[in-house]
Amino acid sequence: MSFPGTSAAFQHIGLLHDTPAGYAQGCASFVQQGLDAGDPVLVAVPAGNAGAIRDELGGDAGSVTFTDMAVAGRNPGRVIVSLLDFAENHPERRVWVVSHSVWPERSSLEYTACVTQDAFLNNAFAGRDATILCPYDRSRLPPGAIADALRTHPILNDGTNTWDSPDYADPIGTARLADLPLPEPPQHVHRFTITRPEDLRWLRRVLVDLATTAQLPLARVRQLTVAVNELASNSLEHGGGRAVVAIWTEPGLFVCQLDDSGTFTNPMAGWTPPPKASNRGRGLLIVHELSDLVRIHQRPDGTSVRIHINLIGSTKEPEDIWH
Amino acid sequence: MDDQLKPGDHVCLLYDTMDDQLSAVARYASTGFGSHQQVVYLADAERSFDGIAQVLHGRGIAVADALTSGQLKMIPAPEFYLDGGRFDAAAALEAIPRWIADARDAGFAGLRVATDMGWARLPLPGVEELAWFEAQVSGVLADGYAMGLCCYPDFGETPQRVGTAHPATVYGTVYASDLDGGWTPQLRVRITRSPVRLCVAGEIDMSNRDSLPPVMDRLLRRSDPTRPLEVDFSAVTFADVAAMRLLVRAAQAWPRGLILIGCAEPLAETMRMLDDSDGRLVLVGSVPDETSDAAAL
Repeated sequence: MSFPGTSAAFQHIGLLHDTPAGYAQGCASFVQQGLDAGDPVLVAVPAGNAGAIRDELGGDAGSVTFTDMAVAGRNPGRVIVSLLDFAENHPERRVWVVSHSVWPERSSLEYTACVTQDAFLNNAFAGRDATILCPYDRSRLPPGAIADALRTHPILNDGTNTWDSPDYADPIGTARLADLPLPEPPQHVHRFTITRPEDLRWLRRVLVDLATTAQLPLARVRQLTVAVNELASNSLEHGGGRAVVAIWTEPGLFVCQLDDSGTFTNPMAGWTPPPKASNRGRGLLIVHELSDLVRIHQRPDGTSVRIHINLIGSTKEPEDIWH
Repeated sequence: MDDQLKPGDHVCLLYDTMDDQLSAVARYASTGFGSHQQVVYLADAERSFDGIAQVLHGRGIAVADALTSGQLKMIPAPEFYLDGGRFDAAAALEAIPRWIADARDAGFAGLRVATDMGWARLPLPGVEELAWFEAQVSGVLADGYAMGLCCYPDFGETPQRVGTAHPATVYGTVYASDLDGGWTPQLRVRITRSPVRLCVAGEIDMSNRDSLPPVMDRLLRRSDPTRPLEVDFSAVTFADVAAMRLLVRAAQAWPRGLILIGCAEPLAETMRMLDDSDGRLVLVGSVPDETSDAAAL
């Protein structure tokens, strides 16, 4: 089996497999092709999946960079940035990347962000010397996820054959179709309206109090504060000068949502780094970096941004923050 | 009860009523009188000076004595700002160093300027320069001898760019009634002379964003191009992405880069994510010659 590694500048391939063996062999043969060409190879898969690929590769595994996608891609919004980073570090060579970010355990909100990521990847890497292979498990993922993979990957491979996806569609349009309304927040949430820059200081205080009560570790509380402050500043500056902030906890999650009346002129803002000289567009990038999930939903009358901070490491359920 | 302001502070005060505003000025002035600082009050002409003096007197300020001794100077605000029917920002800016020099010559420990900005709501030529003017004032005051209290009527639509040109904003009622000293300015900036260093204390966000670039410009003018810029962040408890990018830009532009002192986690973590200066921005915990300038803020 051979992947169309070098026939065009950027190749984005969906690997449709049905068994763990098909997964390991498909990934390994892709990696081998990159190694044979003398190119740098990154395998970004959940740590539990790396072993089987290593076994297939044998001694050659030592020449490959492995990253735990369950960590690096916990927030799907960080995936493109980290893959671009790998490419930037090897400017002279074509890069080969296994990028496995869709697994059945993803929540529906995370999954939506994964589709967006897979779609935007096409634009972010356009013209770059790179081949990216994304495995999709047909035996465990729902049919809808496979249908999405056909829309986001211009090339498909099933371990035997390679073909152009007839369903591949414009990435921005695909991301827009995937942008379903956010689930309603629970009935009891803390809700505030901010209208002036002077409100930000107060919002940060409230956030620290609520996040601390929810037993978020102090370092995460501070990162959350940085992230929400950026989103709230965006709303004041670009989102109609006003934002409704809602804060709540769900099992395992601290959640914060901002609704404003603005529109994202650049749907990919925050998904890719801005040009080096530019000072704009970094706020959302930092929000992605600091959060476990960022979902940006374009409503007919504005924008909603929801971020998740995982309450991992806390052994008990979060304390009730409604008192 | 004294307020918590120190030389170098530049505060935007938003008031609802003339009474609130005069209460604030009375508190500001009386703190100055108790600290051997000179008070320059640029007062709106909506009331006569005598009327203002009476109100201040009623709040325990010995106005007549202070005027006689020179510790209090009253200047009609519209005449000062609107010479010739237009706001000349550059001319207004030039007055501040003169007042500072006069106060120093007269031996005062500092200079408190209070100014009524009610005239700014009139659609006069030049008023669009007000935000630039206020931001520049933040730079001038950062030298740390003079301070400013700029009183704007709060109509809910006060030009926000004016507020963000000040390191701190406060509502008149909060400032005037804060008898236990619980209110302090959100941000303080000082440029020390030896070593030449920008010391920052408090929280930098969108509410004071426009006050920083002129302060940074002033630091650049003061600094020795053969040495790195020095910025002390040890008393900064919050800085947003825009503030950090301002430092990265300065580090990129200055020949010897920038040393950022005492930037604690998690701000340091965010700073590292935003730093694309290729090593020109150096984070250090503290410096050996630390004279705890920031701690004094």
